[in-house]
Amino acid sequence: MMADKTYVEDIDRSLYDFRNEDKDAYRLEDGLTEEIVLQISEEKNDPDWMRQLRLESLKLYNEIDFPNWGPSIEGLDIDHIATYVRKNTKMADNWDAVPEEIKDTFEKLGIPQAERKSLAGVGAQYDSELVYHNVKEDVARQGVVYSDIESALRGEYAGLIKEKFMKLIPPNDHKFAALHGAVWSGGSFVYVPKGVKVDIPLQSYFRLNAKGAGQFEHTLIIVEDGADLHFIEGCSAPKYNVANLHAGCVELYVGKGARLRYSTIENWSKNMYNLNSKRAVVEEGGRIEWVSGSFGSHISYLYPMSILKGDNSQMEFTGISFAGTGQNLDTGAKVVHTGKNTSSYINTKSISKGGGVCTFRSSVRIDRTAEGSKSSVSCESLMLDSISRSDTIPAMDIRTNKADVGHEAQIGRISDEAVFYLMSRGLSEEDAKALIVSGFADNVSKELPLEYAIEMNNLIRLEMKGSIG
Amino acid sequence: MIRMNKLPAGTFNHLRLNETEVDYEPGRPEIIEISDNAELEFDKEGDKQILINVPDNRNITVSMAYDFEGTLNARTDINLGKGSGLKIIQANVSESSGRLINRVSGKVGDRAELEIIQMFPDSGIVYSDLTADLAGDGSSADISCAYFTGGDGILDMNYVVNHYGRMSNSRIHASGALADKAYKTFRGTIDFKTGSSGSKGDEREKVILLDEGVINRSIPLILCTEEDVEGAHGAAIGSLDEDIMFYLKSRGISPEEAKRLVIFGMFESLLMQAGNESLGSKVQKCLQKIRM
Repeated sequence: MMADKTYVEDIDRSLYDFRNEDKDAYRLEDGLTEEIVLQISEEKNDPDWMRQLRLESLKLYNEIDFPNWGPSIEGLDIDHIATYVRKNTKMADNWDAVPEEIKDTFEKLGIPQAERKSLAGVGAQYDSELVYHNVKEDVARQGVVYSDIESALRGEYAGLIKEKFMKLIPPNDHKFAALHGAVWSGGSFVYVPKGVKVDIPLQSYFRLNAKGAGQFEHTLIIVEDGADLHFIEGCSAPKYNVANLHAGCVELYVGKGARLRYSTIENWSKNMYNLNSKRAVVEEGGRIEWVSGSFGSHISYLYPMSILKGDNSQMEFTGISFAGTGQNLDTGAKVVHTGKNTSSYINTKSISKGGGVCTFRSSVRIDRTAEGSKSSVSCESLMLDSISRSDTIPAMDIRTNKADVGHEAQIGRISDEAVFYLMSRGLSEEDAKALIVSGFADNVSKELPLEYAIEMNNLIRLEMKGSIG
Repeated sequence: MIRMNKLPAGTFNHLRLNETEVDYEPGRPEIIEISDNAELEFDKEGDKQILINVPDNRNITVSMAYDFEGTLNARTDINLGKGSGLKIIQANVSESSGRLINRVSGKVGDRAELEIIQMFPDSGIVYSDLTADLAGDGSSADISCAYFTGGDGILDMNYVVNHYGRMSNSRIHASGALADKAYKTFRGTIDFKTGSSGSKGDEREKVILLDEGVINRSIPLILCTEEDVEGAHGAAIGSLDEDIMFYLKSRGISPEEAKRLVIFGMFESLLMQAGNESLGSKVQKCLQKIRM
């Protein structure tokens, strides 16, 4: 006989679910046409090569099919998405210069406070454009560049941007990479010179306020040989009754012996289609660490990919997904080993409840050249009721006999014995289950800076808060 | 063209794992009906359809030895009545590099037990597709496979167990070794459907990669729409354990012989589980011919 179970309420998103009116905003008409793409290009004063890239990407977008293996994206109609929305304000480098309404938005989300307390620099994007960007003086003095990508396109690093932009994720990679190439706007450029270790993290926060709009920011990070960086990405949006779209692109270059940690707490609203692409290439002895928390979105397709190109390079992916009512989160990771003695470790947890769908999807490929490489994949899934769904779809493709690959996966529900034990120690059933789920997510929270771990645990606690039924 | 080995839930198209297309036009099959113990030998190419119907509360064993040249397209449809049991042993013991297209689908009734043992010792090209629907409460499926694929051999497998009944149990265990330019694909799915409360599923795969030119692809799935279940899968893929090799060498056993012993070990437990001496000796004969 099945044990009684806790009824779990949906997440309280009031913290994120506030919206500003679209007044004082420049908004291109909905849809995706060559005219719109050229208007964006004009708006951003693109160099010729970028305008060409946009037009080629648009052509590819019209040629490439939608993926047929993931969650349905039938509810997304690009003809009803505004691909470019900009507030009538210029980017500022101090919060006082940011318009009151936007500043108030980021104050509510805690961004300026976090900057003062625990960050080396912050970029804040509101709809299609950055509205604030700043980096601490002592970090800038070390030669670290943290700017909006449009400024970088015209400055000292213009050549570097041209060399790297959409080279890791080319527009022909998949349909949403092509879409991104056509209409990208905003995002950050980070350059960490050789040997420089940035002790405290940089953060970009993306807020999509406009109804029925898309956000297509591009993040390009270059961590030179022997350098070290932790970059944090946060995102949220108010909920509307029409589809919103996020198709960002993140390209990371990790030099020899360098380390980059890329952390994401994704909390988009439940009308969001999150079709994001992230990819890193790691040189000899370098290390990429992904920490990923997926809590929001209506539909997510998200599989950060690492290319372990250099010998002895490493990758670690730690992720958690929490899908509730109306959510279908298809997440995971990809890794390609081409260098010798490379190693990868993928460790994920997922929780499904209230009809939510979590899919863990991964791909590990070890090429013939990657002798001595090792890979380990571990995923655990919790089902909190029988109207939800949890799928695990891990693929492994091994092309050398000098490799060692392991995979473990488990699916189940909260153990009755564990709940009984905690209740015998005086906890209510609700608290016992919330504690178990927090412990289940511990692998991710312990990898985040304290402030972000607290935010993530708050999200889980809110999610688990409910009545016994 | 036969389209088979389809994943119940597809994945990235570029991996080319979602299904397999086999260039073969099936003809009208010879139909073989079975409801009692049987030992079948397939020594000719062609199309076969084996219908196995096990009445309530009966237990039977059916062995199938494949020893043929050319292409053999064998389809086995199984229906297990309440409280019945069926053990199927399938072994491809062809000495020629024939092509086996082996498809099995079964429906398992209340408290019925389906046990399938498959052995593929160095046998050309094998496509193996197996689906078991655990329709009845307390039903079970126990699927074991051992293989060695060498030369230019292709082994393309797909095992799917659908849990519909309550308290149903499944186990999929596959282990094998790859040598030369072998190309092997393993798909395994345990699918807990809504209503299959109290069910358990376990899926394991162990692969030993003996030579540089081998390609191993594995995709073990768990799909779940039921809360009250326990599912697990695991895979271990790598070269021969150096400690085992060292131990065997220290006992005067050459590396080649050591590899052969490890391969024999993978089949040994299944041969014992099968308990069919004549089929077992044919498998042993195939294994002895393996060149390292």
